[in-house]
Amino acid sequence: MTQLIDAPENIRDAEDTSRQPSSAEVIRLVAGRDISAKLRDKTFIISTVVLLLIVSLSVIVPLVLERNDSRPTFTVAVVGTQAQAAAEAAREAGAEAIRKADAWAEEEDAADPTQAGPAVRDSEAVAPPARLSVRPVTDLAEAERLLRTKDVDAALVPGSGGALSVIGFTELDDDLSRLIALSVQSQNLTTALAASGTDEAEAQRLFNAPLPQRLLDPPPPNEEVTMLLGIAFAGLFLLTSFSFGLMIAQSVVEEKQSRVVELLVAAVPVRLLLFGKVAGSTLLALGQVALLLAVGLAGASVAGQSAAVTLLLHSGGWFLAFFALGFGMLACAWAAAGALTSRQEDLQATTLPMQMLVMIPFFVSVYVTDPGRWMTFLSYFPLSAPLSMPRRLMLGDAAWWEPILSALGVAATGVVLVLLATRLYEGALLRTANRISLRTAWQGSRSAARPEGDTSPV
Amino acid sequence: MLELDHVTRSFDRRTVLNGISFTVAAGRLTGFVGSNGAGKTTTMRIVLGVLAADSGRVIWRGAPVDRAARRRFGYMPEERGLYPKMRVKDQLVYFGRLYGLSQARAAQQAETLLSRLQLADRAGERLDALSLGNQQRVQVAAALVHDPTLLVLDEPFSGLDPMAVDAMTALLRARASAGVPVLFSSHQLDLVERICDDLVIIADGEVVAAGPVDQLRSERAGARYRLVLDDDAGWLRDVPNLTVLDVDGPRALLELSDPATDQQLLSRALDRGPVREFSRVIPALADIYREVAR
Repeated sequence: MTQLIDAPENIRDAEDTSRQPSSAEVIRLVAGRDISAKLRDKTFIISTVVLLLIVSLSVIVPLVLERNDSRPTFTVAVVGTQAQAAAEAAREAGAEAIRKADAWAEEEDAADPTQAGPAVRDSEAVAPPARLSVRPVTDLAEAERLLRTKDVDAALVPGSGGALSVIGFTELDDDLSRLIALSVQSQNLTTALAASGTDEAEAQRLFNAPLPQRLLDPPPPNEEVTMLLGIAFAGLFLLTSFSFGLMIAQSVVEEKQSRVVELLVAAVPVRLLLFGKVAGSTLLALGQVALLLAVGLAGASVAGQSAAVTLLLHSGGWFLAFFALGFGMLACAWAAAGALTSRQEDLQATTLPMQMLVMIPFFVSVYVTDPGRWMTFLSYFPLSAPLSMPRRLMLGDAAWWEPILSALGVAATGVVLVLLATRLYEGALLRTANRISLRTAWQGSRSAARPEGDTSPV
Repeated sequence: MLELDHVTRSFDRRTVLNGISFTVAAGRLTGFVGSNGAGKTTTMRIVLGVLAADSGRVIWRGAPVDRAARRRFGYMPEERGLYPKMRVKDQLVYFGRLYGLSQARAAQQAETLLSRLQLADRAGERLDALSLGNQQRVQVAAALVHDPTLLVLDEPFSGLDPMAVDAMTALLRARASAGVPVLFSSHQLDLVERICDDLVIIADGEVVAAGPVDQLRSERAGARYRLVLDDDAGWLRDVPNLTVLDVDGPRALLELSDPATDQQLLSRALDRGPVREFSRVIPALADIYREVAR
């Protein structure tokens, strides 16, 4: 400090280079500081990475498992040429069934997921989809040995009297035995029909002819995916608005607890400080949600779940928009809840009403999942609209103007809450009691922290 | 020049400031003294705009102060505080920018200040990694980062060791020499007496004394004199029109009933022998403070 005895630089010079920062600049500075402080916070980084991992795993793992599960792979040992021919036919039937199932899934994905599915579609292929590999062996003993060592899943061998029979070790897979049985039956039938003069190809066609199916009231396609995505969106909203809301409150208390707030209030208008903090957290929260959505999207397309991808692209934008509005609506109130105390220890108590405002709509909207009067109400009620309106959009239950109207309602509620919260924040910010009553904060704002001659634009 | 004009403020119907008026002149160090709860911090917060006055005006350079003017004020709050987890230089740049400096200018100012405060090598560290003394220096830098036109410091000397007190004194003096009015509060009256040009004493929300320190002291000096002779001073007890407060061999402390008779007393003493010292006793600031703030 002894070095400071030299006179400061020319004051006039400094006056020329500094000017009144605009409101937007102050908000940007405050938001920027909060964001960069958060991005350097190890806890925040780790929790974000963990969240990303959870999302990507929860998208990819079940899909991969499900896909492998519905396309089982078997090895069949065969003895003799007749058994081999039957097993080869079963292998082809299984592969054909896989091709059909894939084509069917793609057709369904390509359809607009918000519209009802086709009223008429072919029944599933008769043969179950499975991958078969055929392993010719010399005799029954060899086939039994391979069964016992579990090198093969089944053996097709000629029994007494030349008829084929299937042998398993401790059990036989249903799909596998049905596949083999169908192909043996088909082989037998074809042989018999050919013997009676029927063309072999015609016989095959008759045998594999699909039976058309029709539903009077078909459910929307991808019902399960829609349901899961709806819950995922709601969960994401709850988790993010909760953690980032708490983050705003904590950062307000930190400024009070570290006493930096007095210096801040001397430098900038209190409202700009509040708006800056809220803008910073909202941007961070939105960024995290967008990142999670992108990871989910990438995960879904990697896992080949194009139905989920289409739905995400269709409703993800609306979800983000509603998230921004819904979070912004409550963000100022979170800040006010933070200002009502001076110690992190008391934060739990002052933020309790905020926690309820986030939690209750979540549970209600998760409970009400079917389109109807209740869901329509929830999609317009400002606290639950960010959760229920995106779901109605996914279900194709809302007209184009409905999300806009609902969003306006959320925005209007947000404005009212911002006005209330700003007054509480201004009234409580410089008070250092452990807990400040709402009444004190409300009345305090009339005289505190609003200097006379304040010509700031906001 | 900063001027407070009948500023009042109450909290919950309790009057904290009851129409206080005083000025802080350019180029002068003004000490702000008063007991706990006298209203010092409230006054400073009103000057900075952290609190609003109920009535009265704060006038800066002849006009009521507004936010644009306040943006150029430097402030060190009594409750020290910066962001504990933020890096030292980032912190200074942030406040510089909030005060309206450009990014480049704020960075340049932060660097200059940190090197003057011998903290240049700590610029990239988090504030809470610094010792308390160094954190205090950063706090000072935060008040100076925008080359303020007025400096208001609440208890700048509290918690400083003697070396740091000297450094802080030099710092305030340097700012004052550059033409900046400096207002600071303190409990340490000997310190205030030593370094201040002007003094404002408040008690119970009212200014009880204000003006240049020397003037305040001589105004309040009574007719109290110290007399040192070669021989015993006991004969003074028999002199009329004076009260002997204390005699200790050749030394005496006395009070004249009429200050105009001091020269008569001196010639009388000279008649009896050599006079080694004859001086008016000027009260220390602490004495004045006790008297006015009672």
